[in-house]
Amino acid sequence: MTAPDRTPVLLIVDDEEMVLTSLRSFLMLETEYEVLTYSSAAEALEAVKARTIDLVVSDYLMPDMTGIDLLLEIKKLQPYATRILLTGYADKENAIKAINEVGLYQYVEKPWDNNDLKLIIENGLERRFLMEKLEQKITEVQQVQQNLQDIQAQIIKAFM
Amino acid sequence: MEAEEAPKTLIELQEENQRLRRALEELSILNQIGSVISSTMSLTGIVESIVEVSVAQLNVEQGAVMLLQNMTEGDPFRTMARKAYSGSDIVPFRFGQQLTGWMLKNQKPLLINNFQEDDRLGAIATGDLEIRSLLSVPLRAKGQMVGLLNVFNKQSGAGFTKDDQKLLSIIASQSAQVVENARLYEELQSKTADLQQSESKYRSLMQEAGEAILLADFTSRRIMEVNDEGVRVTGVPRDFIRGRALSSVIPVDDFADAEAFASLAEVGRLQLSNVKLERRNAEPNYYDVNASLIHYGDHKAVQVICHDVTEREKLASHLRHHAEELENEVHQRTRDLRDSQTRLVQQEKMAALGRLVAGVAHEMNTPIGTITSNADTLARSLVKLRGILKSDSCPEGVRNDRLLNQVLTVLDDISRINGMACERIVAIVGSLRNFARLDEAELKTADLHEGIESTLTLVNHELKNRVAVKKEYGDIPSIRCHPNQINQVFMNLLVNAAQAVKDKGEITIRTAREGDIVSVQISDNGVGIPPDNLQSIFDPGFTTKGVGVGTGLGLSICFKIAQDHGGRIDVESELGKGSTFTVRLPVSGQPVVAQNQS
Repeated sequence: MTAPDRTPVLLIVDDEEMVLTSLRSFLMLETEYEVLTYSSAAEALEAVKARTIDLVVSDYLMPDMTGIDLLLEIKKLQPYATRILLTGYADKENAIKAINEVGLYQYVEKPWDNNDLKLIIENGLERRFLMEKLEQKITEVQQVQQNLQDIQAQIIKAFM
Repeated sequence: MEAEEAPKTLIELQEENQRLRRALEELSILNQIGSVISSTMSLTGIVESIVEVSVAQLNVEQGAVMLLQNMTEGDPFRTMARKAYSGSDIVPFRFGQQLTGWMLKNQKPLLINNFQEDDRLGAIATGDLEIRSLLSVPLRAKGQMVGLLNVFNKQSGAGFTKDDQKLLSIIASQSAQVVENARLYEELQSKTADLQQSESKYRSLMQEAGEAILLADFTSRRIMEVNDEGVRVTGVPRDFIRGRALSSVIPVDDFADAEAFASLAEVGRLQLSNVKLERRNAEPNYYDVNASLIHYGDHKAVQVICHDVTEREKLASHLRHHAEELENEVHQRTRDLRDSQTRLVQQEKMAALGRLVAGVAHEMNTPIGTITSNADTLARSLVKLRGILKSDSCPEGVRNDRLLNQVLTVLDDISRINGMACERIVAIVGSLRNFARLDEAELKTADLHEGIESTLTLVNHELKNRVAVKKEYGDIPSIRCHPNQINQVFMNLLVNAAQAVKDKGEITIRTAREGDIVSVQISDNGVGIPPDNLQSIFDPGFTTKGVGVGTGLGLSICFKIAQDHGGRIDVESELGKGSTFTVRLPVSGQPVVAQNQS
């Protein structure tokens, strides 16, 4: 796994407090991530606007907003955050339909298996950091290229 | 005194002599009449003899006997036989009515010596007979006047005397009964002749009638006459049919039973419809039989007319048959309709149950997810906690604390059991989902063993520790089917099997491949099905479970599902030994509907 430079930040959204507590407990025990939990989609969105999020796990059916809509909002705000949907069995079809429009990384069925979930989160984060690194590299390359162009311009200027 | 007495005695002797002579004459006349009458029985002969005797004895020119044919008091003149004797010829006697009228009215002898001047008989044209004097006496038989004996014109020219009248009266009294007997005899003969004529008329009518007619004696019930058509219809030759019992030819109870037959005398007529008459080497025909009491000669007879209604019967039977077919058709349609309605209701019920199950399963996702997750987290936490206790940084006192270790042991146990409980809950919810499978209504390839297993999980409460399940799974391919429907079939059969086992028992599930067919056999060693019920167990609405226990729909739905998959369900059962239901489904899973469409 690509070692992150910082502690990964996870956002978990579910209208059921019990789910939030369970997931937070498990992740606290097994990982070093910073886990933010929200039982309201609106509050979660506030948090997304306030800070960098590396990975989002959202419930599908919530009173104020569906998980799909929430993830879509988050995608606009932080495109590199990995998006995972936690669905009930009967919601699976809707979730699958939405995979493409949301750019869903993975969906997880309730009841979930802790090990599976952990693995999916780890992979999701790795992807997220790879993407981040890739972006850094691209920026660096672009910077270098810019520098080169500047130097080239100076040289041309010097010779003319 | 003696001299006076002597003449008296002489006179007396003379008178005595006279009386004796007359008695002798009378005896001689009687003898004469008796011999004449006994020599002939013909009325004409008798009458002629009487006239002859009278003419001779009374010494007259002519004599006549007039007979009343009809003795009705109110109508004395209507009919009479007139016989006048003149020499050797019989001549018409023209004034009979007036004479008879007078005699009937007065009922006593009539003596006229000066006929031309006497007006007692009114003005009479006597025609050829020139009458001077007349003597007429009544002929009486059994106290009734049956005619007159007349003599005309005393030969001597003198008139008739009282003695003549007495003599004629004697002749009349001796003749009357004989004449009456002869007359009755002739009448009888004439009536017999009439009867014979009417009989022959009847026979010819009977013969010419288009219908079969049999004539049977009313008393003996034996056949007397039959016409050609009757011979043809009964198939019995004419020579053999006479004398046979009517009921042997027309076999109906009313002819066989003497009492019923006798009742014809009161009702006069008997009508029977659609009597079947069998003939050798021919199709039986049907007849409307009409029996009526008639007088045939001096017999009371029963006339039996057979009207052929075979064609009508054929038509009626054809119509009946047609009506029956229509009725059957209606019944079948009604049954089909009821069946499909039943299926619809059942399908709707199953769909509702499926929705309910799916809803429950969905609602349980979150709590179950939480619990299973927590059980796992708890187990992990305990592992970590023990790791901490084992590390060097942990004080010895803490690591060996008895209570702490007891608590850890309890937590370990609880955590392990929670994990197991969660696994089972997850399995049950999975089975419910698998059973409902509302999202998989379409045809798909499914492993039947998987379906059986998930169904078994659901019927576990029926089995408990009571019924052991033996699995003899063969090597079967997955088949194309609607898994939810097939699971429904397994569910029904398994629940039935479990319910058939009253105490402890066994259910055996065998699967096998038979060419392109996969068979699933579910056997129990329960109570078995009575043979009478075996026919009906797949009928919708048939249940032996009692009101409120079974809907009576389960097996009919199973049957329909198997049918829709192009398969079938067979049952074998023995009372007390158990039942075996075999579901056979084609591997290709070509449902009947799909086949019809292609």
